[in-house]
Amino acid sequence: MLKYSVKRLLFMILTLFLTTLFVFTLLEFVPGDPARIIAGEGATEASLAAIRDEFQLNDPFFVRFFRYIGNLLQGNLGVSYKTRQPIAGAIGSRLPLTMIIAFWGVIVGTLLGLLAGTVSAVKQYSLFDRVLTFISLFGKSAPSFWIAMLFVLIFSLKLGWLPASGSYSFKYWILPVATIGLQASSGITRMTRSSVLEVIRQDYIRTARAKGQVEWVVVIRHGLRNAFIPILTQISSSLCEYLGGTVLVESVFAIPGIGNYVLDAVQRQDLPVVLSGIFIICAMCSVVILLTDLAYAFIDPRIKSTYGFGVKKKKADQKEGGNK
Amino acid sequence: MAKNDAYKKKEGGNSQFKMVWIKLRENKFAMVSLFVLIAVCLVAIFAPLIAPYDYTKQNYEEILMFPCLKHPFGTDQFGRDIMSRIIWGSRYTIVIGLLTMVVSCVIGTALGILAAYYPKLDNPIMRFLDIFSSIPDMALLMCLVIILGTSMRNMIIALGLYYIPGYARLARSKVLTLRNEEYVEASIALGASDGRILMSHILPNSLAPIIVRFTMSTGGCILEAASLSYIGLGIQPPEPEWGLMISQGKGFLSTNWYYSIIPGLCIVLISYCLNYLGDGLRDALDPRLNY
Repeated sequence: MLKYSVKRLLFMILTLFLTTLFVFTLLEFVPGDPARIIAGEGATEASLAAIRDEFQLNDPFFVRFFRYIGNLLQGNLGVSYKTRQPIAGAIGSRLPLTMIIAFWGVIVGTLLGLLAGTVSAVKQYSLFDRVLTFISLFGKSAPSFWIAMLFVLIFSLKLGWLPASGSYSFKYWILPVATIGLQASSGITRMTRSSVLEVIRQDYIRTARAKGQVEWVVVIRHGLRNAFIPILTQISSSLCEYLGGTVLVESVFAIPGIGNYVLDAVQRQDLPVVLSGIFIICAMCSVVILLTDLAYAFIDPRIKSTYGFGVKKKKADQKEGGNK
Repeated sequence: MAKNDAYKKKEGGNSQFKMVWIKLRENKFAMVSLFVLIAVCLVAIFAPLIAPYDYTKQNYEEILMFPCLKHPFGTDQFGRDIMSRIIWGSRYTIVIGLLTMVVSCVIGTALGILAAYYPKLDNPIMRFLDIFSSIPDMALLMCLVIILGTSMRNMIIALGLYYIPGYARLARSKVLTLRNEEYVEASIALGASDGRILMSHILPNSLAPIIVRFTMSTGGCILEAASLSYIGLGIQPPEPEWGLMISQGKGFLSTNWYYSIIPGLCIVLISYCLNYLGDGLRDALDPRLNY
């Protein structure tokens, strides 16, 4: 297990490094002179030169890149062009909010999705199934910012139950979490449905029923558990999506999260903030993906044996119930 | 089985295309969706004839009017008719959705097929695309827009780049299984050139999942395009793009709800239809369900 984890960790660091290099290179192509972006339109040549010195913009590409990486390793995310403040502090104060909303949204979505998906798989082609499919397609078809506005319209403006924007207490998080929950649940519902449908036709389900097992235990213990790998993939990919993509929801509810921070930076061409913001988002995603990969091994013993966790790899014969 | 016989009678001697069409026709949701999508395309093509008003015409005597007979979807803060703007806006939505998908589908599929067919190219292509797709969608799109600048052409390029890895991966996985098929082996044995094998054996046989993905991703792409316009990185005002209209209506949500809700409903309608059509196509194209 340790060997596998270390291997995965090294691979994650490599990917993250390459991603950073990629984004760093992309941002080199942003039109316009960074010094002029910092100083504003009316700056003189002398002040531009001073700024180039201050931000060390004259250095060659690779020197700047490796300096950036070196700073990253020391926890220094650079300095914003516009505010001249360290980025790490700004991100540190915004990150918890984005994480709270993304995590809770995905948790709500997972619970809804597992429930709805399992029920509609068990009752395939029933009216219930069709209605649930319709609802889960809504989450997939409607833009998140529009769903958010719909919620604001109904729950804040018409009913007056919840605040429409800002982020001061638990009450303010309900609508953003609900928006993300609805969207996340749509993918999870569909994945759960198709995955459970595939499992529920297997022989061991019939065996479990034949031996007189209670139906809900059959569905949950034998069905859902064996169908869980693709569902987990879906959950982790939607968590990644919302860690980096809450920008739309954040902008509707005026939440000072990391998405809004990066968006502001994009609009003002504040490149270090864009770079570091995207780096942090990618780093969070990499960690989520890493944890998912490790969780696979815990859920499915077959995967554990494939990677050789002490057990010698042996393919079971198909007659013995092994997977081909 | 009786049902199979009925299918055979209906489909016997028909081309693949016709068989898919016959099966698709049995799916009511998919047919309704197809009908709606064709209608939306027609609306977009004939926008100048259908739109009751000029979409740029400002009329300060009729600002922020609620939906009524004269303005079925109401008017905005400049007195422009929202229905006309939605009709014109459908052009943006459809052109962006289709062009993006065509660009990313062609490039992505080509890359995927090459990666799968030539093992030497596999790692360089797929690892590069992995880096691309390890960046979450909005982060990557924002990054691309800041480089390219905001315009419709650049938005299509950015979205196209974003969708390439998905197609490449799909095509690659399909071609990897096709490579070992007997008919491919047979044509290699016959001495067919790589180009011929790829174009006449591998490409047609790997099309089914790509068509399904094309349909479904068009819906996703329309949403992404609207999102970019919503945060101000896509189509710029005063153009009547739907996402932009939602964003402009945000300030009037408490007094004039229809302003941003109706364009959103249009997006939802199109993307619902694309999803249902995609579902229908997947069932119709699935050879396991044939006979």
